[in-house]
Amino acid sequence: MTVALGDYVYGSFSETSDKGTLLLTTEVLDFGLAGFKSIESVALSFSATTAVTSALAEVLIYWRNDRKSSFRATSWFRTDPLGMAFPMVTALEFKVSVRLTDLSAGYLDSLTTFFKAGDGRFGRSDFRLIVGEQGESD
Amino acid sequence: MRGNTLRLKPKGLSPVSYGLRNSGYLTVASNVRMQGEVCEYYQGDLTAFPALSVGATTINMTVDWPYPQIFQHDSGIWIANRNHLYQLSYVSAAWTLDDRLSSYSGHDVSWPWTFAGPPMNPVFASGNVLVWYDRTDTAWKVYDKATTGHTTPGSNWSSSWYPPVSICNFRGQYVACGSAIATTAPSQSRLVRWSEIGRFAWFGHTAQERFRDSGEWYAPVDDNEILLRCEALRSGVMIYGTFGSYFLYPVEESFGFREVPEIGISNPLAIGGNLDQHLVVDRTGGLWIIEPDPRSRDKVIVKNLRYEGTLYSLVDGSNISTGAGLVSVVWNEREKEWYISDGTTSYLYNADGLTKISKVVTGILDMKEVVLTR
Repeated sequence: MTVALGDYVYGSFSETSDKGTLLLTTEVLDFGLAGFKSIESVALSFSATTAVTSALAEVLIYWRNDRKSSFRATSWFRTDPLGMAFPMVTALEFKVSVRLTDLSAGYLDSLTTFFKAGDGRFGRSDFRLIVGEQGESD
Repeated sequence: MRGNTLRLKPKGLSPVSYGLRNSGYLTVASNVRMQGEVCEYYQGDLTAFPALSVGATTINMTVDWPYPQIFQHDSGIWIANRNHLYQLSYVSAAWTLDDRLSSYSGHDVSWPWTFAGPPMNPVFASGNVLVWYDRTDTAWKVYDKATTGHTTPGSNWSSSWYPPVSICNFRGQYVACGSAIATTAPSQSRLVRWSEIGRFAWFGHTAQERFRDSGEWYAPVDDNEILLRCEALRSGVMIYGTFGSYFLYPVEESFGFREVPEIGISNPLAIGGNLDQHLVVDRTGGLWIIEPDPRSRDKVIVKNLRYEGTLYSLVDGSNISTGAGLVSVVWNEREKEWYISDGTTSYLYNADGLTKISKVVTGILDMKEVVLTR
């Protein structure tokens, strides 16, 4: 008999083959703008609570240029040590996917997408602000 | 060109299948748990129940969906699978192991087990058999109405009654519902029985009618309806059927009935929770929360959480007669979370959202509770 009396939650379970990989994909992102947008970078704010020797955080962008079509995927972009990835994708709509492997524990508390709206066709007020002719770029 | 940012706080899987644009909802969330608006890497904080043997008896813990199921009671730890019902009890500083289904060898159970656990008197029901300790005959009874040696239920159950599909305990009273097959009219498949308070004695058989506390009620539906699960809330008992559900609330010695028409379930395991909350997966994969109404003892609060688009694949293709693909909802009291699985895919739901996990859970056992109740 090997059941110990102690502070445990025992379970009877089997495990699926995808254990070990944290995988997230967002809902559709169009940033509230109808024209083409360019995702330049994605920043992950995450922490690992135990030593992570080979943690690998990657970002993939699903994109489409027609709302009736299926999404197509880029390849995975590995993040830098600060959690930044630089995929550079231009399209109408996106979904951002995040993959973290080799984690024993960790938290992801936000995902920030940096994008530029270069498509000036839908500007109704100050066109120059949108295309950045007056040095508005950063 | 001017740069812009969109910062998303994750919210778990999207409850609807149309796109919630630019929200924090997710279309994929694997191996995580929502904690507020933070995604925690998580696979279910459970320790595998070890392979156990006491003397010559070894517990078969191999997952054969949706078994083994685990129940906690003051009489011990109960582990139920297709052809065994193990009682693992701690007596005089030593573990003992008994198989209460040993007399039924050769007959596999296909309907999942449900459990009623008033102190000292556990009763187990699947749609196939009813198992209980008969205090009059001082023996364990295994009754299925059909198999030689199991057609005589002893003193406290009638041989003209089918085993119920489900049984539960409500304030010391057994409540049982359904039968696995539709019988002659009125069909026992839509029958709810409640026992005497504190005794496994039933209306129409051995209950003492002068107490007026036992009774029965036929749900007002077609004879082909099957009431699949009864489960207690703090203020009454929820009865879940295939095409609708009912709330039984105490009225003097008996019960009153209130229909909850929106919710029908596909099998008895599609509910999990405690006295304060039931999480229900309905026949279309919709997720619901049922809670006692604190303002009214004869009502429940019904919350529709949606998620049909995500969970429909769990209820599609299930087979109640073999147990294959049955959706099962398991409650983890310690972590305040539910595991929703069909044997191959598993989701976790807590107050912060729904996510996918890798553990396909058939039962859990909180040892802290066992120590406290032993």
